[in-house]
Order: sequence, then structure tokens, then C-alpha cells
Amino acid sequence: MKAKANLDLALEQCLLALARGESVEACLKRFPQWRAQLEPELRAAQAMREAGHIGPEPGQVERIWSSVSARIDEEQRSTVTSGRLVRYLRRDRSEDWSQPPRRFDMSAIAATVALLITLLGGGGMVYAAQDALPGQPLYQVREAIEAARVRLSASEQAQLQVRLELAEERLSEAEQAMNREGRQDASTALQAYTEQMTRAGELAQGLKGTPQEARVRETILERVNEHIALLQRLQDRLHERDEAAEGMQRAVEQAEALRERWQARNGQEEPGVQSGPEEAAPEGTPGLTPPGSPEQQGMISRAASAARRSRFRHSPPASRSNLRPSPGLRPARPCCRA
Amino acid sequence: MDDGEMREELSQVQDNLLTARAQTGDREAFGELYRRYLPPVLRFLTFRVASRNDAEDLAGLVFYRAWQALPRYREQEAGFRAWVYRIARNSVIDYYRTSRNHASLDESWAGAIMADSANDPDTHIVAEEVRAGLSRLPEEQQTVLVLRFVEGLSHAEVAEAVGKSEGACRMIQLRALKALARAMGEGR
Repeated sequence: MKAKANLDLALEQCLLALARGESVEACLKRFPQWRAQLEPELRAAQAMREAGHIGPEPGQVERIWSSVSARIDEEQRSTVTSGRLVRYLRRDRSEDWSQPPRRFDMSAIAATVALLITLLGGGGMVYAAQDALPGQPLYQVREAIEAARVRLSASEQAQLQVRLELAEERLSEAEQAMNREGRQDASTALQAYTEQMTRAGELAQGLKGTPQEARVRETILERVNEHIALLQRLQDRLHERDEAAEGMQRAVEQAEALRERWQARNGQEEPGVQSGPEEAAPEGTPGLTPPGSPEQQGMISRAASAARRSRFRHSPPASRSNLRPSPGLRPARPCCRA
Repeated sequence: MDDGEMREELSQVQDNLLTARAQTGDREAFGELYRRYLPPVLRFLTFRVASRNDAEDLAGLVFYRAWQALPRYREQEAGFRAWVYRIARNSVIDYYRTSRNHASLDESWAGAIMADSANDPDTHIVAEEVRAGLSRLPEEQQTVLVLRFVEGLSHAEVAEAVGKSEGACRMIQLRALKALARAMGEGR
């Protein structure tokens, strides 16, 4: 082990020397005992340095700039098109207050656009947009579709269901991003997850005292417990406290806060052994704190600040996970693979 | 601080000024950033994709995406250069995931680069050996090696470009260099 460490150190020193212009042979003379091991790696490094002398061919710089300029011109020429909508939506996400205030309700516009796209035969684009990730051209279409799904839901319970599904999609994306070491993408997805779960909690408030309350409560608790288990597993895999780890921590806190509230409402029952779906909570049972309470405000504030920190950038596409039925509400998309 | 480090720092300050101007929509400032970074970005892409035409198309896309993403760019220690390489790397990953009909190295890249009269033939032979060896490595190892040794980025810049810690990048570099030496040895 110590010998390997010494060899790695010698390699590191030689690479620095090569970067300063020293020859491979001169480096090897300093470490004769490691010559056989070091030589192939130093030659490979040197070959890479030599290969770096390749430059663009004549006219290539101008040719590529023409294509970049043409794309920028095209983007700037667009007026009442998706380009303008995209810029508005981006402004909304980044909360850039240096920009002029918006004159329109963009979520209503987004819902209308999504509906129009569907009605006018844009089904293929809508289908393709379902797999788009932040930074990809169709991601704004996907956001518009998701916003429309929420807005067009017939009831608050249906909206809650959609919010949970969207949250689980974000969680699934975070898991996939972690699997491919895309921590930035995972962080972005986790912030979006937190946002959706906060909205779901707000909607759950509206169902207080309704016949659906017990069923909704059981479903949310079950989901939240699954989310916490998944988040813990992902968190265990993080060795460093980077941006994704912070996002993960916020998501765990968010999920745990939601669970605590539902447990309090449910008489401190253990998660996973909740009463049946038909067993409604008695009148006056403490439940989720009202939307305006300090606790709820704190939860919303955390999610909102997480969303504000969210930065959307180009990222590679990820495949979608399969659906898993869930009791209580209609079958939902699964997010939490063991 | 030696001359090289001073030049590097001055260059980074200029980048920051140009980026700040470009963020306001100044196309001329963005054009200057483009002129500074097209050659290294194009070289990076040339080592990473199968054909030189694809590298050229991707280079255009990378700078267009950079223009689009400029409003969200925040000045950071590693600077504009690492940021634009990050976009380039993501574009390469996307290229391999979304396209199915890429020409192989043997069909296009080697022939095209050898036919390029603007560069030294010996350099092309070396580049060809490196390219062939690199193509047998995992994507992440290819990126780290090209950024470190072809482009001469610091460990911090490489870490920013690939989204990992410096320590992790050093480990990847050691493993990758061993793998490349082995691959190039087998190819001879």
C-alpha cells in the first residue's frame, strides 16, 4: 500500500515536471526504482500534450460563429412565440427582479399553450416533452404540461394526486441522476421535489374535515415514508457534502417534517401501521398546521428558498421509471426502487 | 506568482469582464469569449466525438447553449473556461445518448484529421494514437484526461467542469492515465 502511494506521488511529481517542460527521460532519472511503472504513463501524458497542438482548420472559426450568430438572431427575432414564453418562464424560475414585471398570468398562458398544442395535433411533441429534463429544449413544454395537469384537475384531491406524482417523478429523476453521478442534476431535481411536496401539503390542508381526509392521510404517510427511505439510501451514498448533499438534506427534512405533522394528526401512530383508509380522524384532531401558521410558513419558506436556489442547466436525458400502484388514491408512478 | 500564473490570472479577469458584458446581451463581448475558447472547445470535442463534422456542429451548439445560459452564469473560482467545458461535456453526453448513427473513428475522424493541411502531420499521428486509446476508456476518464493534458486545465477547473471534487478528479486522472497507457501500448 505504501509503495503504491509512493508510486502515485512520483507520478504526480513527474506530471507536474512535464507540465513545466521537463522531458520524460529527465523525470524517469529522478525515480529509477519506478521507471518500468512510470514510463508508459508519462509517455501517454506526453502524447496527450503533443496532441493538444491541433488547431481549427482555416475558416472554421468564422463558419461556426456564423451558425451561432444565426441561432441567436433567430431566437431574438421571435416575438409572441415559444421563445418569448420560454424567457418569461425562465425569469419566473430565477426570480430575477431586475427584469420588468410580467403583465400576464404565465401559468394560465402555459396551461393554454399546452392545451392548444394538444388540440392542434402536437401530441408527438407533448409525448416527447414528457421525458425532457432541465436545460433541454422541450423542458418548458413539459413544465407547461405539468402546470396544466395541476390546473385542469377537477378537484383538490385530484390536484394533490398530481402533485404527488410530479414529486415522485422529481425524486425518480434525482435517483437516476445520482446513479450516473450527476449530482448537480440530482440537486435540481430534489429542489423541485421539495417544491411539489410543499404544494401537496398545502392542498392536503384544504381536505381537512372532508370524507377523503383519512384516505389522503394514509396515502401521503405511506409515500412520505417511502421517500424518506429512498432519500436516506441516496444520502448514504454521498461521501462529500456538496450541493447535492445539501439538496438531499433539505429534501429529507422536508419529508420528515411532513411525516411528523401527519403522525401528530394520527395520534402518534408508527408509520406503516396507520389505521385503515375508511377510518376518519375525529373532529378536532390536530393535523397539518394551517397554511398561515409559523410552522407551515417555515416549511413553505424553506421550499421556496430551495426553489429560488434552483438553477436549470443543460443535462443529459434520463429514462423514466415505471409505475407502481399505490393504495388510497388512484395508482401512481413509483419512485422508490429498493 | 510566476509569469504563467500571472498571465492566467489576467486572462481570468478579462474573462470575467467579458462575461459580465455578455450577460447584458453584448454580442461583441460574447464574440470575444467565443474567439478565445472556440479552439480549445473544438479540440476537446474533436477528441470526444466520432467525426470532425460532428465536432464542428457540436461546437456551434455549445456556444449557443452558453449564450442561452449566460443569464444564469455566476462568477466562480474556476471561471468561464471551466463553465463552457462543462456545457461541452454535457453536450457530448447528450450527443451519444440521442444520436444513433455516428460514424466510427476508423471511417471518419482519422482520415479527416490527416487530410487537414493546417496542422503538423506528426502531431496528427500522435493525436490519432491518443484518440484511439481514449476511445477505449469510460466517458468520465476521457473527459478528465483531455481537459488535464490536452487542454491544460488545473485540477480545480477540471473538477468544476465534471462536477466532482478535486480529490475525486485526481483519483480519476491516475486511473485514467494507467488505462490510457495500457490501451496505447496494446494499440502499437
